Amino acid sequence: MNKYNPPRMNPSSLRSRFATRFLRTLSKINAQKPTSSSSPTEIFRRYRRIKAAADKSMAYSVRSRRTWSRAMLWKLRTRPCGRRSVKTSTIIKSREARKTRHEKQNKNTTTTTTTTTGEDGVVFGVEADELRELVPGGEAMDLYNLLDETAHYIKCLTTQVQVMKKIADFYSP
Amino acid sequence: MNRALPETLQWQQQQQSYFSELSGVFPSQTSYLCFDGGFMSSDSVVTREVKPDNGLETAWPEQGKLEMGSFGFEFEPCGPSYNMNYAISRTSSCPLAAAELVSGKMGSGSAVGSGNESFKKRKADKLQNSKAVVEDDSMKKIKAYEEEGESKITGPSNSNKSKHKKENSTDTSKENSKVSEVQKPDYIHVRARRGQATDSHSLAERVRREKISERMKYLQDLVPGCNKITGKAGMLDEIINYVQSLQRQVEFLSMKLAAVNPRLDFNIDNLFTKVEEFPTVQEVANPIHYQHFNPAQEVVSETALRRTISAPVTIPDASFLDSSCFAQIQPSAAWDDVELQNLYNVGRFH
Repeated sequence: MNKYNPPRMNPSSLRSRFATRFLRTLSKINAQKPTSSSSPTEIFRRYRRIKAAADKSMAYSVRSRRTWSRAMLWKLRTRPCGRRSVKTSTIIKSREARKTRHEKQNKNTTTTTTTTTGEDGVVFGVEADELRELVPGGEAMDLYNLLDETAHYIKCLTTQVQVMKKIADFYSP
Repeated sequence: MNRALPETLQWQQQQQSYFSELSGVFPSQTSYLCFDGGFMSSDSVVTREVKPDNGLETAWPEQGKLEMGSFGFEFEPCGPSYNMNYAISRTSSCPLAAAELVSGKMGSGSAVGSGNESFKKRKADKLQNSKAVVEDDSMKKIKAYEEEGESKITGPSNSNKSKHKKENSTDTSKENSKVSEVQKPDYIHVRARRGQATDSHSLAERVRREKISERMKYLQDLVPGCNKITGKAGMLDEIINYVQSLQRQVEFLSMKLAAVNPRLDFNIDNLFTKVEEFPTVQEVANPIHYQHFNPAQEVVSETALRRTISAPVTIPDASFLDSSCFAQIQPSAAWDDVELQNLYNVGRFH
């Protein structure tokens, strides 16, 4: 009989790292499930937690090698998880506001530098800003690094989507 | 590829006849363009995620103190003698430079067609692509490069030798990469092309543009359906849309996962099946658990499903949205062994 060896996953690949972490967190979240699990608010709360868990697992899988993962981890750590006091959340918000203001200034300077020379800067001015909003941590990056981070971010997002899709399909045939 | 390396080594020894060797090495490639292509292959192996670019239009700034300096590049004013070194250094020791530097270098290097061409920015001279012109000036250049080579053999320091370059501004600028010594420079050579401005700002801008366009090409391959779009703005819009759609998909899937209550078991079982269901194959790694998954993937998933379906049998109130779901999770620890055994059995039957 032929021994069929199915293709095996690299246990240290991004996908497996993310899958492991995410499943672990997911099981934790589902273990904490309260009795009334079908109410919309509960589901919504769980959705937020699951989404945060997905982002966190992905960011942790990438460690700090990427700017966007670092920014995402920072955001997740300082983000009020709903139970914190209003004071801390306002403090955090003001800190974030200052940070975004500072980053916006950086962005403006970078965009001005890109727009001074060459038509590329002008072309990329508006879209680059949009991209900066999308990619976490992209506010204070120049265009080249922004594109670099976007490429890696897209790769990780596709992995995330695939893994989550498989999980969702598995649990709802 | 390796064939480029020994050739470059040859050139190091025989600087005088480098050009004849060049023509000999690439008999079919007489133009600057082809030469570029020859090295692209060698460096494409090394470059990290950067695609080799037909960077014929790359122009490296000769002064490192331009805005490019912010990217962490060091620019080398004298060109040709260093391009080969640059190529060699990159091919031989890729992990040597810091990550950013490498990525930046790779980006720029690949933008230059894998950084093979040594660009020398001369104040008054422009580049010419024809080999004949290069041959004419080869002798002059060799002398200039020799001088520069000696002065440049200082190691991978980030020195900005703009003044040195200005001293040799008499020679015509060329684009061939000439080999002097094997070094590991961290700088990028820029050369003004024919008909283009030669001031440092435009050169730096050109380098940036090429790096950016090379990044865009890479992104174009990542984002599906982007091949038809050619404009940069359109490309960026596509990228933005794609990132947004991916983020929305993640949100939707997490919502779905929140709504679909977890049936029973979660971790190990899911891991096994999920891992096996992955279509893409990475390196073969054999953790002990996986070795039992000999059967086809559908069988495994079927068994997993069967087990999950049969599990409620052991627990009477098995309705998914029930509070008993909560109770079902508790014995999951015991089930893990059972499931594992089942899986092993399945594996044995095949």
